[in-house]
This record gives sequence, structure tokens and C-alpha cells, in this order.
Amino acid sequence: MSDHTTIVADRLTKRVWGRTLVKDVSFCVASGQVMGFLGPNGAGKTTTIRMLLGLSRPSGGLAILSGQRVPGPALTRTGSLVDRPGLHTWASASGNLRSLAPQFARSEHPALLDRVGLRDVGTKSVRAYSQGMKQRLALAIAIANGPDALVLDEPANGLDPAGVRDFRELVRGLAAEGRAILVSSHQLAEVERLCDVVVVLDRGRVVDEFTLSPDEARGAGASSVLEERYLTLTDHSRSG
Amino acid sequence: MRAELRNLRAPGVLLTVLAGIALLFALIGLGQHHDATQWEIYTDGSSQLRSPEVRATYCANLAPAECDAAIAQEIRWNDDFGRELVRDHAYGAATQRPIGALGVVMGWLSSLLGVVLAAALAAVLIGGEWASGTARVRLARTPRRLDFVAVKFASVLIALVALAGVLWLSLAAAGPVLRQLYDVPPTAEGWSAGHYAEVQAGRGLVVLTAYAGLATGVALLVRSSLASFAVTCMVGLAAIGSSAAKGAPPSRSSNAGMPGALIATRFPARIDKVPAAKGALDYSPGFWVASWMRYATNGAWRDHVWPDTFPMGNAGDPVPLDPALGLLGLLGALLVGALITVAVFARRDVRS
Repeated sequence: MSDHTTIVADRLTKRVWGRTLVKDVSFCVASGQVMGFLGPNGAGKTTTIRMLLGLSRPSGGLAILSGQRVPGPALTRTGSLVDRPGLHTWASASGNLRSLAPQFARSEHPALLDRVGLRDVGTKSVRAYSQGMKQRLALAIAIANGPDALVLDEPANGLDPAGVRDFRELVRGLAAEGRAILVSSHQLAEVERLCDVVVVLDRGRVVDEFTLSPDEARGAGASSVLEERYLTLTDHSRSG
Repeated sequence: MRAELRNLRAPGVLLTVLAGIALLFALIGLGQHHDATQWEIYTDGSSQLRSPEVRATYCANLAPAECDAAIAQEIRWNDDFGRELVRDHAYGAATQRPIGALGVVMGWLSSLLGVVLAAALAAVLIGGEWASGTARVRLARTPRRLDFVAVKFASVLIALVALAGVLWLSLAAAGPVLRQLYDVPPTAEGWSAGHYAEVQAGRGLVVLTAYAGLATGVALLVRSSLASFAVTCMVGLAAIGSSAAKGAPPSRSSNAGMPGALIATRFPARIDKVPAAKGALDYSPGFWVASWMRYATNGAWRDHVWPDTFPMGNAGDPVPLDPALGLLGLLGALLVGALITVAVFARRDVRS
């Protein structure tokens, strides 16, 4: 793992047709840390994530992965999951891994698929997969190749309770190995259990960044603490 | 690149191959039928003009000397027709030979058929990636967009060349059947199917590269399978049509404007038979393809041939266009297209 295993947004700004979608968004995810990225619909989370992954050009500011400016070589060492899972539906899970994570050794496919709970269906066509199974496979593709950093947009979408639990354990395990992980989610209870730090985005701007207390962070109770704080910060979304 | 080539297993690629085979054989069937019909007219005329019954009917009101002269004149005209068939229909016989079939396939693929198949492959290999979201997954791991463009171009080109190989093998395998079905004019003495195939394949590869470039660029920028297929076909048709729009000479017969005129498959004409009209339309990509492939651009001497060549030049003011200029035009268009694609694609946001 590199010493620069971090995800950095440095005053990221995105303007489209004169409209500012994201303005001066800054945060840093350190090695071994899981950061929750929260915000109401349309707050600019996905736009920010796209800039971090080089899918969208910032109008201002910098995206830096593992100490290198984006776009750049660091993208090859970054796992990601944005929007719906991007998969070849005509291929099997192994076929998708061969195509979308080509550097990942074929002999390791069973172990990886086992890690995301797809070992038994690894040779089936993805067309027959449920939404949750596709999400698991997309996660497998994201973590194949042993990325230094992970950027995950709504990764628990479509997962059943067991899948959510498996995902949480997977992400915590990856963080324990020293990876920097950014997770965007609307599931506050899950964020409390999973994340060390939370950044809240509203109307394209960072409105708060705070560390979750160990009790909050591991879901030992007081699940309403984050919820109350989030709703207060994004109060307009309730009233309007 | 190996990972990219796995996409050739996509069902759409197989469908494109099957559609290509079906289209090729439909066109070959029409061409062979036409050639066989022409040859039958010649051979029937040749035998009938020498038969006593026809002589008796033909010369009923003529003196013997006048009859001999008239019959001899008819035989000469018929023999001229036969020689013309042998000269201009070499591709008909080549179609039925394994090696010659390669030249014929490359000729077809250098026409609108090639544009359509390149468009279909790009729609599957690139448009399909936008639809499935895998393009986004790849781009999120690709440091430079240029790499993505290069890999996609290579995959479309490889698929197109492989498709040419499949079409060649299919046509070569069908040769014995075609020989049974169609009695086409023999090739002229000294004509070499091997040389024909070599020349057509060499020139055709350049044209296929240009078609792959066009289809790749459109698919990368349009980002939709159906739309990229339609746009590529329209661009190809417009390029070819702009050459055809130069207009047939007044002397052309009625079949000059038939749909086959939009499809090039001809045995390459000699360089001195590649005239081009002056004017801006000389510089359309369709005309460059025609010049580089040595397709006849002057329709006046191709009236009897179907399928005809696609760019029908104006015979009124023929100016030979050097094939090298055609090549230069094609390569220039490819380069400019590549620069535009890379410049636009590198800056555009990925939203799918």
C-alpha cells in the first residue's frame, strides 16, 4: 500500500451551462479511513465523485488520488462504483472480471466471488442476476486488482440485509488493510455503522464534516444522532 | 487489448457476422445471376447465328452474298459483346474461385456494405458499452482517454478484418455451388485471380481502416448503439452519394441510376479508365475511395454491369485522379477525424 493512499478533493467546482452544481468542495480521506458522503438528492455527491474518478472535468479545483492528480495513473489503482452496475449482461461473473478487471489473475476469481457471495453463480450469465447480485459483482470488480482507494456511490443499493452486512464487513476489512474509502449513501444507519468520518454536502457545498464517535461509528446506539445532525444541516430538504 | 477483444463474444457481433454473410450472398447472387444472363445471351447468339434455321429465317429476303455479309456482321458484334463480357466481368468468375473470392469480398467491403458493417460492429463494441455502463467502468480506470479511443478503434478494425476473413471463407466455400448454379463469363487470358485478390486486399485494408475510424469516432461521440449506427450509415451514404451526385453522362442507359450504382464491387479498372470530373465533389471521401480502389468513376462504359460502381463520374470532362491522391484524401480524412474525436471525447463528461 502506498504512503499516499488518500482521496483528496481540493476546492472542486463544477459549472454546467452557467449553473454551479458543485462549489469549492474539499475533503480528504486518509489511509485506513472510511468516509461517509452524505447529502440530499441533487446535492452534488455523484458530480463530485465523477470528478474524483476523472469521468467529469472540474471547472475548478483538483481531484487527487494516492498523491496523484486526476486524471492520471492513480486511476488504475482506484476501485469505483458509480450509478448502476456497469456489467456485460451477456457474460458470466468470471467473464465480467476478465473483461473489466483484466489484470486480476483468473485463478483468484473464485476467491473474490466467494468474498462477495457469488461463488456459486460465478459461471451463470449476469442476465439472470438480481439487482443485488449485480451490485455484488460490481463491488467485486471495484475491489479486484487490490486498489489503493475506493470510491463507492450508493454501493448498498439493491442489497438484501445479509448483503448489506457482508458489504460492511468487506469495506471495514479493506479499510483495515490501509485503503482509503469514500462511500456515498442515503442510509444513515448504515453510514453510522460503517464510517469513521462524515462529510455532508448540500446544494453543491460542504456544510459539515465531522468524526463519528466510536459509539456512533459502530452503531452501538443513538442512531438518531447522525440523523438529527444531518436533517438539521439539510433542513431545506424537509421544508421544501 | 486482450480484455477488449473479449467483447467480440458479444451476441451483437455474431448477429453482425450473420447479417454480413446474408447481405453478401444476396448481392453476390444478384451479380452472378446478371453475369450468367449476359453470358447466356452471348452464347445463345453465337450458336443461333450459325444455325441453318436462323440463317434461313434471317436471310429470307436477302441475296446469298448479302446474307453472308449480314450474318458475318452479326457474329462480329456478338463476338465483340462476348469479349467485352470476358474483359469486364472478371469479378464474376473470380467470385467462384477461392482466391478470387478474397478480392471480391474486399471489393464489397470497400463499398457501402463495408460502411454498414463497420457501423454495426462499432454500435455493438462501443455503443453497447455506453448502454451497459461498462464504458464508464473502463474510463474510471483509464488514465488517458486517448488510450480508450485507440483500443476501441483497434477492436473495431480487428473485428472488421476478421469479418472480412469470415466472409471470404464463406464465399470460398460456396464457390462449387455458385459454379453449379451460374455459368458466368470466363476470365480473360493472362488474368490472375491471385494478383486480383492481392491488389484488392491491400487496397481494401486501407479503406476498411478508414471505415473503422469513421464508425469508431461516431460511436464514441454519439454514445448510443442505434444512433451511432444510423449516423455512420448516413455519413457513408452522404460521402458516396456526393460522388454519385456528380451525375451520369447523358449517354447512360436506363439502369445507370439503379440502387446497385451505390455499391462498389467492381474488378478494378485500369488506371486510364478512372476519370474524374473537376469540381468540389472530386474531393468527397466517396470519390477518394473510388480512386484508391480504382473503381470506375466514369459510368459510361459500365452501363451493362450490375452491381455497378458507386461513384458515377461526369464523362463530359474526364480528368484522371491519381489513386495516390485518393489514398492521401482517405488518410487525411482519417487523421482529421481522429484528431476531432480525441479532442472532443477527451473533454466531454461521462454521464452514462
